[in-house]
Amino acid sequence: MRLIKILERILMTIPVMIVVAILVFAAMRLIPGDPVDVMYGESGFITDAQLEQMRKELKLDKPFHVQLYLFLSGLVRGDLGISYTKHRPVWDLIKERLPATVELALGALIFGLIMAVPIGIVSAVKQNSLIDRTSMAAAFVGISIPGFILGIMLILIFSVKLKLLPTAGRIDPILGLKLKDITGLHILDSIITGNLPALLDSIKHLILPSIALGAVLAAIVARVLRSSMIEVLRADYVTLARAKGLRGFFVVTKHALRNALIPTVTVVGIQIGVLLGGNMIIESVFAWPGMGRLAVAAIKESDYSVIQGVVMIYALTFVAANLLVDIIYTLLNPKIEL
Amino acid sequence: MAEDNKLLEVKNLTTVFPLRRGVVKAVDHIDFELREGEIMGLVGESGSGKSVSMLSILRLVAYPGKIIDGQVLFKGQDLLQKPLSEMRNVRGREIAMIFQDPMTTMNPVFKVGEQVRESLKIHRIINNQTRKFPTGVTGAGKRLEKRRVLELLEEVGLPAPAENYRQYPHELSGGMQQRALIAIALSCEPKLLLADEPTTALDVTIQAQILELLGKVTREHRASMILVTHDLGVAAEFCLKIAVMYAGQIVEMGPTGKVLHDPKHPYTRGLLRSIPRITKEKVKIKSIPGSVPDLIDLPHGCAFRPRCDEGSPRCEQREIGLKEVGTDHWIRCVRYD
Amino acid sequence: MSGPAKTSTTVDLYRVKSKILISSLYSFLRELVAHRSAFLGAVVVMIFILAAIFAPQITPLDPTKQRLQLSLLPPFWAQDERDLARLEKQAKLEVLKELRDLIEIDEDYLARLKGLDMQEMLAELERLSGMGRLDRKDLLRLKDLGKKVMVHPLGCDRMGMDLLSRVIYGTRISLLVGILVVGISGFIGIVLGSIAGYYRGWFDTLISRFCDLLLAFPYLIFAILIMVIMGGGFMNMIFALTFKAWVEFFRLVRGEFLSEKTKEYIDAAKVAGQSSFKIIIFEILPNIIHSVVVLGTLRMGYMIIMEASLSYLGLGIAPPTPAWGSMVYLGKQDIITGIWWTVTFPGLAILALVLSINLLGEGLHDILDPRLKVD
Repeated sequence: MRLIKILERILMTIPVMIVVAILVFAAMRLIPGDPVDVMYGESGFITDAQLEQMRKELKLDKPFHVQLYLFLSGLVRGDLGISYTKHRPVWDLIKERLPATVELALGALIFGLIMAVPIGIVSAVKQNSLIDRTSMAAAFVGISIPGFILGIMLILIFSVKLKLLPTAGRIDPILGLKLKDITGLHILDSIITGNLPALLDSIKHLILPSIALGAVLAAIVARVLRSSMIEVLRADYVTLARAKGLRGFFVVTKHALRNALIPTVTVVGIQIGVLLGGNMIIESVFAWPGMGRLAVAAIKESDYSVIQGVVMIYALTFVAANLLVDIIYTLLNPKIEL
Repeated sequence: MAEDNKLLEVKNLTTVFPLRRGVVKAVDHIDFELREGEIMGLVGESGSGKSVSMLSILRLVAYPGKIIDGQVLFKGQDLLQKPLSEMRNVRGREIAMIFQDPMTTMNPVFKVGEQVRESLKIHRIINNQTRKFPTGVTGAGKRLEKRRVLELLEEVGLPAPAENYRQYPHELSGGMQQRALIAIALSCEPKLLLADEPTTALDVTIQAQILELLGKVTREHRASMILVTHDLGVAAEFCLKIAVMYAGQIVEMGPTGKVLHDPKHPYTRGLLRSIPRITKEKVKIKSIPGSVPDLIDLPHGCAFRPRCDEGSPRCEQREIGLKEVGTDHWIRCVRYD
Repeated sequence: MSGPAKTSTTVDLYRVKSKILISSLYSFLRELVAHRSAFLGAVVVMIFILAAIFAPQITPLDPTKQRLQLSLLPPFWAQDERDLARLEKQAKLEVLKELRDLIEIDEDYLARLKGLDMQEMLAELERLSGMGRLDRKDLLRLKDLGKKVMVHPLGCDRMGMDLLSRVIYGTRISLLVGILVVGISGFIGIVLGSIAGYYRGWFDTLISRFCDLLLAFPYLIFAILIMVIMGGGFMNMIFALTFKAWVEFFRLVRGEFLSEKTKEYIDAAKVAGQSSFKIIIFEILPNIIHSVVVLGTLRMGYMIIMEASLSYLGLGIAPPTPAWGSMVYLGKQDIITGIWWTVTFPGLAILALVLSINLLGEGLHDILDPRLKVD
């Protein structure tokens, strides 16, 4: 039955995740030099003996496979190690920033889909019309522009020149203090606590980053949806639906769309990877206090522990997202032999 | 002929496709009539305009195609003049269509039962009142809908209606899919069925069954049918009258017996000659030389002239109309003009 | 006579094949010109390529020379009185410095020259040249230098580096990255893909599994990981980008090989005695190379975006090397104060290049892959 197949797929991703974790771990060990050197090498106040002691503490003197085992067992418990520069558990650092990243990712996803789906449908139904040509041209530009450039341009126009929206950050600090933290997602929290000023402020801060991150997704999904809709609208079963006397709107949304979504969903899955990668960059551009910015800072500081943790989270999220897309695809397409 | 009980009257129907390289005249001023209960065969090669004619009746011609002339009088009313909302009431309910390839005609993501039920829902055949159907089924609302669907599935000869109801189209064979599509067509008890090559995509063994089914249901539901086919044999067996189409025009039309035994138009004759027959003597199959013309580049006058072995210079001079040569037997040929 | 010898017929076959190749090349070019958007893309790409090749000839100033006096100079249409004054002062400074290196001048004369405005100073220099104290050649050079420094068409960045020169030079890096990454990963993908697709077996399974693993990482994250390990810089970035890019080519080529293998002309070639190697290279590859070209072109734009992104994060090309991504990295901090030109011009350059490459790629797709032509 379908549920069993779905469970099977979920189980199959676990070995993948393990290998991913191992790869990231191994990759970090390839870096020349020693984490301890990185942390304290420059200071000169620490004696070699103390460095050795620290190495022992961090278990860096153990052979590779032992370190790997310790790492993996820690992983299961949620222990990702300690940040070299901040001297705090990596997981804590990530946990603090995760909601911000999630909020941004959701914002981008929602923006992307809200833009792409109606445009894709309308462009396909009214092929070669003005709306079709302009939106496809816009989509083409959308896939040719790097996310950070778009982000910076948006800031220049809307924040600096027009002064409509804030330039950076997630929420005005004063309002931020007043906002109760329930889910960590500011927009949700402000709705729950009925905090209108915080809600408005959060939304204002979320708009530009979401557009910058979601634009590529919107562009690609719009194009793919349009072309698969065009193909579907030519199908005999669409003509039959019309021949049954069904109204045009329902022909498109009920009969055509579901079929057109099937190949589109696959593309969305691929794009989630781009979304995750772009997330780091956009967070950097907008000083968004999320995981991405943590990673960028860690790169500059050579905080390999944090880098390792963040990269792993990103990679695992990607695997999980692909799994989700896979499941949705299976649910949409009854032809998949389950 | 009695003027009443003329179910369908098509006059001068013309449908064109304006393409970049020219205008394709897919349907060129066709006229025909159909009475209640009649089965008419529409015969021709691919590209002759048969399918587009059917789609034109229901105004389902795909963009960029346009109906630019003519009238389609159904029960006295011109369908081409009706507002779209009224047209939607005609589609599926008064006139139903059966398409050629059942695999592509059913929506792959919906269950078979759903798709039959959809027709009932669209036309609100079953409201919340109880209804009594010919078979005596009563009930109300959704359950009644489902029961009606199961009834229909059984009527079209599906062996396991309850199971088929829950299945997806790809789980059924071609023949079974076509039966389901016939069920969809019949669901609202239409007066006219447009069957566009309903058996062409099926195995030969199934073809006969489906055709028999079509014949049976039209009789039982007292409906008329236009059976589009390229197979003269099929037309011969089921149709009361035949219209032969070539290059968008009807070139010969009349009672089946007359047209097939005494064909007057060179094209019809050519078609009949090219049917392989099992006879005692060895006879060479004569094919019609040449090929169907490009519908943009039609020759002046008779469209068949380039391939006709009985033609004369007169054929190219002017447009030739349909003329009656016998009772109800019409020809488009210069010799009878 | 035994065995499949290379007869004259074989040689003629190759000659015929190359003739066909040339004529199809010609018709391809004709189609390219007819396709409006592809042609536009091709033209713009050519312009960029020429700019990259002839960068030293066409750039006015040294892209890495810092003129701190001119820090954050706006583009010429936004330059105000003060900016012009700055420019003049800087120009005079440089001209005089050059002059001092060329000929002997006493300090008083130098001070007097400093007091003149640009025009007057140049007139003085003319006089000097007339008097024979200054070489004609050097005079022209000094005048040229003066003029160039006076006009910074697109303004300067924080370090006073001329934006126009940097944008032009940046073309080199972007194009180089695009071509190298696509070229190398394409080559690897073709080689591995053809072997895997043709011979199947353990090799195919091994590489395919490896690809699946690589695909578990989002592209940018993976590139960042590699660059963190290896450090920044141009070559490391090429390596990081190529590491994952070949997977797409591999899959494409492998897939095409799988479907081509079933076709009859392969059997014909085998019967004629062609070795597998020759079959792969001379029979199958020519038939599938067009999809590789289309894929390569379409990915090239993405690679350039990747390079810019990595440089923006500080991982790729480091300043002061003129690369568009790192130019944006340098200029980002100032946009809050309304200084838009340091980021806009490199940004527009990236957009223009990638856009035209994509136009070209889509056009190639329409031309070379006709079976995928919709409407």
